[in-house]
Amino acid sequence: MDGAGAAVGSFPGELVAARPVLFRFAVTLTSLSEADDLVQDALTRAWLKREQYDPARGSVLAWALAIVADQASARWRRRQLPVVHLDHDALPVRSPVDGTASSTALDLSSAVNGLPPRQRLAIVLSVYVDLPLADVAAVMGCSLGTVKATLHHARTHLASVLGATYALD
Amino acid sequence: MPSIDELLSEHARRWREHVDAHARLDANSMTRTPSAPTLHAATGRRRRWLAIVVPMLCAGAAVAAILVVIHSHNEDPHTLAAPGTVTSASNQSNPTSGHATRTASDGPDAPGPSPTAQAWGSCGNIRNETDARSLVASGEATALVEARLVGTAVTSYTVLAGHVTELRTLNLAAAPGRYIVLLGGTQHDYYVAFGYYGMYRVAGPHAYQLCAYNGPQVKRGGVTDAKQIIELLRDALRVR
Repeated sequence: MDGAGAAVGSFPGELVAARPVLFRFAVTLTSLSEADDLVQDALTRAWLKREQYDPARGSVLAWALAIVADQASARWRRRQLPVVHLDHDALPVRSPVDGTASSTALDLSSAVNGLPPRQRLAIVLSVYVDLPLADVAAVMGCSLGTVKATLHHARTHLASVLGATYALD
Repeated sequence: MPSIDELLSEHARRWREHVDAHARLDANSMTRTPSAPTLHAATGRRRRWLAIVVPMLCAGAAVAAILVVIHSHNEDPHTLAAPGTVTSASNQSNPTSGHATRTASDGPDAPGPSPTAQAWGSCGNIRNETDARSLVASGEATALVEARLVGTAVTSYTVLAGHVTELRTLNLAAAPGRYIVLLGGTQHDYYVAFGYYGMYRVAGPHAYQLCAYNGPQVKRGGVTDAKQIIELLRDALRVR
C-alpha cells in the first residue's frame, strides 16, 4: 500500500465505490436522516473486518450490503430479513379514465410496502437500489433462481393490486 | 398502458434521483442538510448536540482544543509548516510522549493539563488520550494532533503522537470546549479514510463522537461538527 488513495479495483476503492448503493439500501432500512449513520457504522465494521472478506463468496458490494443489513438489525434488535420501506414519492401516472396525470406514487409505494417481506425486499433491492440479481441473492441469502421466482411473484402481486386501477398489462 | 415493470422502473428511477441527491448533498455540505421526508415513520433521533452546543457557542469565545487523529504516510520526520512563529521544528514519532509544537505569533497559547478520564467522558472506545495514543501505536491511526482554538482561529497545533507532513493554520468554527475527532482508519489509506464517513470511526461505532472537555458531553450530534472539521482539515493535511 502506498497511501496514494483508494485505487480502483482495490478493496478500499470498491468500498468507496459502493457507498452510494449502500446509502440507497440504508435509506430503505431507516430513513434519509438516519441512513448516513447506518452506512458509517457498516463501513467501519467492513474495514475493521476486511480480513474476513472472501472474494469467492461474492462481491465487495454484496458483502458490504449484508453488513449494512446486519447493522440495521442490530440497531433495532431484529433477527429477520431487513424490513424495507418506500417513501411516497411523487410519480404522475396517467389515469386510464381521462388520461390526466395524477399522483399515484402513493399507490405504487403503498403497493410495494404491502408486499410480503421477502417479495418487498427483492423488489426494493433489484429495482430501487438497482442491484444485480447476484448481489440481491447474496443479500437475501438465497439462490439466483429463488430471487427470480420471488421477483416474479412480487410483480404478479403488484399487477393484481394495481391492475384494476391502472389497466396494467 | 404502462406495464408493472414500466411503472416500477419510473418510480424507482425518481426514488434513486431523490436519494442519491440527498446523499451527495450530505457528503459535500459543510453542514447537515435539512432532512427530506423520511422514508418511513421512524421515531428518529434528534441531534441532541444542538441543545448543548448552541448554548456553548453563546457563552463566548474561549480556548478550545481539538484532538485530531490524522493520517500520515510519511515515515520521515518532517518540519511542520505553518504561518506564524515557529518555535519547534521537530516532529517525532512517539506514541506516548513525543510531540512538536508550533505556535502562531499572535495567538494566546492556552495552557491546560491533559484531560482527565472524567473530563474526556465516554467516547465509545476512546476513553482518554491513552486510548487515542494506543490507536496510533497500533497503526490504526497514524497521528494524534491537538489543535488549539481561540474563537474560530487555530492558534497552535501540537503533534502528540505519530507523523504529519504539513499542517496549516485553519479557521474553524467550533464551540468552546474540547473535542475528540478521530479521522483516520489506517496508516495506508488516508484518502480512503477521508472519502467516506465510516472511516471516521475507527475505534468503534462512536469513535468520532465529540466529547466536550469543558462542558457537557456531546453525543452523536458531533457528527456535524466532526464532518465540518474533517472537511476543513482534509485540505490542510497532506500525506504521502
